[in-house]
Amino acid sequence: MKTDKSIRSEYKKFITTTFGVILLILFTSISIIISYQVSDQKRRELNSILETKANAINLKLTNIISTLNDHASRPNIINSVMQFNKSNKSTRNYFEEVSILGFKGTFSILSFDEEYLFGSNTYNSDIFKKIMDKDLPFSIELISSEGAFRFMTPIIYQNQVEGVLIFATLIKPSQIFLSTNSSWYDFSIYQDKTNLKTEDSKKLETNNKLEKPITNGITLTLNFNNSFYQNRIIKLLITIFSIIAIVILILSYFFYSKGIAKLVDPYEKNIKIQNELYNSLNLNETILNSITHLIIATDNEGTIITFNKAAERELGYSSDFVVNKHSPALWHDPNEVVQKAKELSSYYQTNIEPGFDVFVYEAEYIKPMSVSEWTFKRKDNSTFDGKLIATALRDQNNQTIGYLGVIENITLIKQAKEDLIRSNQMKSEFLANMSHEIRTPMNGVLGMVELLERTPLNEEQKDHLQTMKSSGEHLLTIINDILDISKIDAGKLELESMHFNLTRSITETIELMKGKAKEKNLELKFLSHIKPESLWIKSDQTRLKQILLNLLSNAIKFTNKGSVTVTIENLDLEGDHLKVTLIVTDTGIGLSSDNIKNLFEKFTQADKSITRVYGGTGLGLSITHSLVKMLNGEIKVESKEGEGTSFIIDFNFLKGDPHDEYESIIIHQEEDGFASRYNLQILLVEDNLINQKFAIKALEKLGYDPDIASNGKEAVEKVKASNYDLIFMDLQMPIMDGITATKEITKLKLKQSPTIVAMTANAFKDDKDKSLEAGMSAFLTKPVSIKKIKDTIVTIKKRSA
Amino acid sequence: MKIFFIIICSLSLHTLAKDFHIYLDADLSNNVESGESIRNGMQMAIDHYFKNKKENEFTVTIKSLDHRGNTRRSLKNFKLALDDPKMIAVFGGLHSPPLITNKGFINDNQIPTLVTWAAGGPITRTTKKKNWIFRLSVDDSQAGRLISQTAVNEGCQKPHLVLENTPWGKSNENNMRRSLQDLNIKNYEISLFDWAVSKSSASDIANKIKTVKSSCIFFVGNAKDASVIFKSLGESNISIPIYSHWGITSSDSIEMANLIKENNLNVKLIQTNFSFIQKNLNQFQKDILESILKRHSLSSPSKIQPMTGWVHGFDLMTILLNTIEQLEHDKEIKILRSDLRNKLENLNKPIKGLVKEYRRPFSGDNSKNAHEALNINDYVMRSYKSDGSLH
Repeated sequence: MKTDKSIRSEYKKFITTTFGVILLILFTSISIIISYQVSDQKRRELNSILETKANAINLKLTNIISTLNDHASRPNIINSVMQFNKSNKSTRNYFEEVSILGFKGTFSILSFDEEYLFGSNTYNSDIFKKIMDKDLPFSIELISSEGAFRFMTPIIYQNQVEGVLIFATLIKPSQIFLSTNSSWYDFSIYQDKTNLKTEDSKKLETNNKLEKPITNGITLTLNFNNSFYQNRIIKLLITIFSIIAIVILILSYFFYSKGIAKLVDPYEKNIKIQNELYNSLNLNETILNSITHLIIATDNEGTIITFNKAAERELGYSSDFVVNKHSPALWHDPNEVVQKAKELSSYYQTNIEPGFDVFVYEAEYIKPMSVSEWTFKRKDNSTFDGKLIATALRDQNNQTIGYLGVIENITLIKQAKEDLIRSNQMKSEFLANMSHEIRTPMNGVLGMVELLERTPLNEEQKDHLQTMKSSGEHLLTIINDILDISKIDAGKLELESMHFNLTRSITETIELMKGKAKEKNLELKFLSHIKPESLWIKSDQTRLKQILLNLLSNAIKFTNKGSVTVTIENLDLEGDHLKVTLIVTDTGIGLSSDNIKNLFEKFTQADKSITRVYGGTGLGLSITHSLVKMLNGEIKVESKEGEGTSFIIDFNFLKGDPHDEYESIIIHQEEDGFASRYNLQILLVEDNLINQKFAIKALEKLGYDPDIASNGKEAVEKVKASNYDLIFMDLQMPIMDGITATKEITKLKLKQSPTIVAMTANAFKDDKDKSLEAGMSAFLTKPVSIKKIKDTIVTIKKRSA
Repeated sequence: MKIFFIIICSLSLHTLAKDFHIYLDADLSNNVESGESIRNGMQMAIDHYFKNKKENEFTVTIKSLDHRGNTRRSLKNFKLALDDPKMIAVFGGLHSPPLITNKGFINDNQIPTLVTWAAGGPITRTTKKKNWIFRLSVDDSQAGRLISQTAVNEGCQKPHLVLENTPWGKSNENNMRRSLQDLNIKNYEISLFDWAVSKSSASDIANKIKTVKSSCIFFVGNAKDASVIFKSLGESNISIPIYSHWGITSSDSIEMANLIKENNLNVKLIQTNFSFIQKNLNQFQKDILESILKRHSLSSPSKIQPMTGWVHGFDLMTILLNTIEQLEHDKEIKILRSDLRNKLENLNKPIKGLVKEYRRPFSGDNSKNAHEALNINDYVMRSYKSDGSLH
């Protein structure tokens, strides 16, 4: 392939050569023409000069003759010749006075037999005879190189020559030529061997001559210097060459640039395109054949036109066997095709024939890259599942020219997916079970602890109980963390959305940690210059508090002296959004840069030794990090070892409406007189005795006297028998689980259908969904607290109100 | 044998008969009519003379030479004639200047010259011992007198002499002056013109005539120059009488007659006293006339033009032949010529001519008119008729 540079230079060469040749030809031909023209001109010029001078001289000489003739034809002269009286001096006297055109000279008259009538001028006998015989009308002779001339003219009487008049005079060159005043030519005349030259003081260097006869054998010579003309030619040629060269240069540049633009550039472009095309095709070919997907393209009718290597490998047919010869029917199950045809026909309310159309209908009419799954039959009759992505191939006019099918062998993927689903299911089940298993007893323990707390206790007992509570709560925290992590991992952590005041939430959370801070003599501060009224947001309050709680907990944990400060700042309101920064700063032990790196990873703690000193699961910050992310925030950490740590979170909340919050009401609800305020018939459905017991107690504390059912079946019976307002339904129960029971109750279509609240250790979204789906109105995770029960009742009551 | 003998005899007879060449030196170019008329006259005379002769003692051949009016050519011609051993005599023609100029040569070289026309006075007069030139024509020394007399008789008191600038013209001038003097005319003008007179010269003359108010013109010139001058006179409306010498008859007479008529001119010119047109011709004259008319297929006598040449040529040749007849022919030509000259001066027998019967036409007594065959009594002044004839 020619490179850009070589084409250009070749073109340049071409232009240069062409125009060079043109220049040469033009110049040569014009030079020749010019030379001819100039020679011609020269010839004409010289001839003109010569002719003019010759004519002038001729005129002068013939005038002399003419004047002489006038005298010769005078009657007295004729008479004197006829009478031929030598003694008669009158004729001689006559001519003594005469000058011819100013020239003075000597005259003679000769008789027909050469006798002088008068005068004694010598003469040429032959010329005389010729004049006598009328062969010469007159004669002019150049006698000497000084300019002596002799003129002879006949004396005629009655048309007969009776005598000859001779006139001899001296004519100086200047009188005959007059000056030429030229620098490059002069004149001379000659007759036979006699020569008369111009008298010029400066000697002219002449190297050329032209001649013209004047009269009577007298010839005029123009002597000139040829170099005058040669110089002229050279000057002219130089001028012309310059002009032509300039013109050619301009033209060639013009042609060059035009040529570059109109020919070379498009050509180069073309080459480039060809290269690109080649590369592209090559790439395509390579892609086609290196790709693991099967690429099968067909024409409009379904005949295979492209069949890549993967297809060959997977299906077992060779490209040569298939291309232009077969359609995809070769590897499809006809029954499947018929079925799909029916489905598509039904779905799109149109008749789609079982055939090629089935594969491409959607691609053609509905959407490009239509996806469908098929069973593919190899040559060896084995099969595999394939995902087909079909696209219609259209030309520039949007006409379909064929179809492209990309097929992926999804057999393994399918399998893997199924395995994954199953494994996930198993994991979820396990987690659910485990959490249920763990939480249920925990529920029991903590419930009992709570109940014990409300009984009279001595100090020691209170102390031990406190330890039990804190341990239990700790354990519960751990379980909750694990559950959260697994939810987050499984992507099943669901956020709630409520309107609340950020400042208040922060204050409430700080309140919870005040005790812990006091224990370590740490100052726990809250700094905010933002008006609390400005900080109404719509978010998940629980999770937000969890974040703050975690950070505060860590801060307190890792600070031995000084303070822990919570700051909110950088309030930025933008439309619906409320941006704010939350900072938790401590004067604790700080973190090293290495620690910071892995801070938010699961199971990391700054130091293994820390775990030993400070305890902790190592899951807290990981959960915090994930939660921050889920709440549309960004968390970063700044720390200096030995000085302290700051956790900075930039939140982007949705603005909240103070009128939508309800929490405030709930918090301050008293326990006493609760039941009378919220009069409900409650049914408790719980299979676990301990949990049962706790729940009953809790409800009793609130002033309720619930009925009990141990399983779903019993619950349904009881519902049939009595009217209940509220049912707390455990989900995992023998004989009939909570979901089924709820469904059954719903099926009863009671006039006053009770509100069923799920109560379970399972805290997965699935469970939640299933519950709500089944007809449950709310969802409580165990261990339930009295507070939770209270809140739920209030919420439900409010809803129904 | 007899025949042979006769032939030999006739041949010898022929050789016995002397053959003479008679040259005619005339202007056969520019005034060709005059020259030819002279020659015709000469030939007529020869024919007539030999017609009646049984035996020819001698024969004559005319040799014509053209001098074209050029004096020098005439000289050349004379030289030519002189070189001819058979030349017995040379006839002269119209122009006087050649004869006047070459007179010396002619006389020095003893060439018997017979002048039929040229009227110049000096021609026949020489200071030399022997005069070889004989004339049968008008003599200017007497012509001038006639012209003058006629003019004065007809009332011209202030003549204008318009003369050619040649010896002839000059001789006439002299003669006219003398005549006018004798006639007591003192008031006269003279204008000379050159041969081939130009129109401008001619009009100058005409103007001069007008200016001086001449009452008549004496013209001496040949026909060519006359036509130019006459035309000028006509253009200048000069209608005074012109008394002309006979030079104007040198060419076509009809042309001249017409010219004169066209220009309203009144021209009289000298002629010798014989014309074929005149009524009272004698027998001899009639015979000759008839011969001419017959010989030259002419319809009438008036066609014999110019008559002067015919008549004088005839008469002078007749005289010559009759003179030769009387000579002894066995002599060397030079002697013969001398004998001829002598004889011419001593012709006792009368010779019949057209003009008159010649009795002793020439003499050798060195008198003024010794060599003049005609005299003033033989001259008349005539005018042209439209047919070119002179009356």
